[in-house]
Amino acid sequence: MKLPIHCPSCKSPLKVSQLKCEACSTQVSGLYELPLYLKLSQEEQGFIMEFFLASGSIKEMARQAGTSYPTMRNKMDDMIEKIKKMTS
Amino acid sequence: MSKNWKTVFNPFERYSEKSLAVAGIITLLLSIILFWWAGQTNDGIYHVSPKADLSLVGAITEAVVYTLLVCALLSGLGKAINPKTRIIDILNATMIHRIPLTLGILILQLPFIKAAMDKILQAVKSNHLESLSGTTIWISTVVSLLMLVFFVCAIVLLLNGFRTAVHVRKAIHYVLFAATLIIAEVIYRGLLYPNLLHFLK
Repeated sequence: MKLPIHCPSCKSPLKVSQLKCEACSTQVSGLYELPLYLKLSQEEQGFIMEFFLASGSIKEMARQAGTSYPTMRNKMDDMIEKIKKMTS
Repeated sequence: MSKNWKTVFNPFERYSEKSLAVAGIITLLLSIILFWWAGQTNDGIYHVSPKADLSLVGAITEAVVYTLLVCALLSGLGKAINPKTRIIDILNATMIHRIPLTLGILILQLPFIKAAMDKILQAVKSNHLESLSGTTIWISTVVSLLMLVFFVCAIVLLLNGFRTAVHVRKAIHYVLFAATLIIAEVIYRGLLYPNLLHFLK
């Protein structure tokens, strides 16, 4: 099941308010930030995973995706810019 | 726009630099042979004139000089906009964008078009434009429009190649791209081509 990261009503980023142990049903309540990786869209998470699995080679990723190197590098630059904005 | 048409106008998004380089070099070689065979000279990067005595060495030199000039200027601009720009991507775009122009020169060699163009040239020389037939004027109009379409296609290809290589996102970068092409044309036409003519004599 896909983890929602934005409020379906107002589109604001969602936070974690409850965690539950499946074994003993202990529940922890609070207001936790989602980790940065989970704040990204599924496509962006997939991109990072592919980059990791390709040993950090943009060239290899481009080959697997059937695109050119600059196209893949541009996609990565856009993501780097987005993550920098999220962390600043 | 369908994916196929997108690939036609922006092959730089999809194909590897090796495939593009091979296609670019083949285009350059075909262009050299075509210009030499047809006796046409590139007196501007985007301007062609008849030159019956053009040698093969002359055709090669012209093609290499305008390709390197456009590539050098666009690479400089690309590096200034985005330091990650690779020269090979700009060089591929520079070589591949000549495909429509080469096709245009090939079409100009069709006998009936060549005959119509010769008639127009003679009429202009003798100052008897009224002697031109309706068919000749129609052919020249259609051919001119076709050449314009080829020219636009070439510029679109170069722009897409540059955009992909540099990751252009601001309007000012498109303006700088256009300015760079104009500067390249001025340098080639005003400085390099006259020296090439002198050198190749």
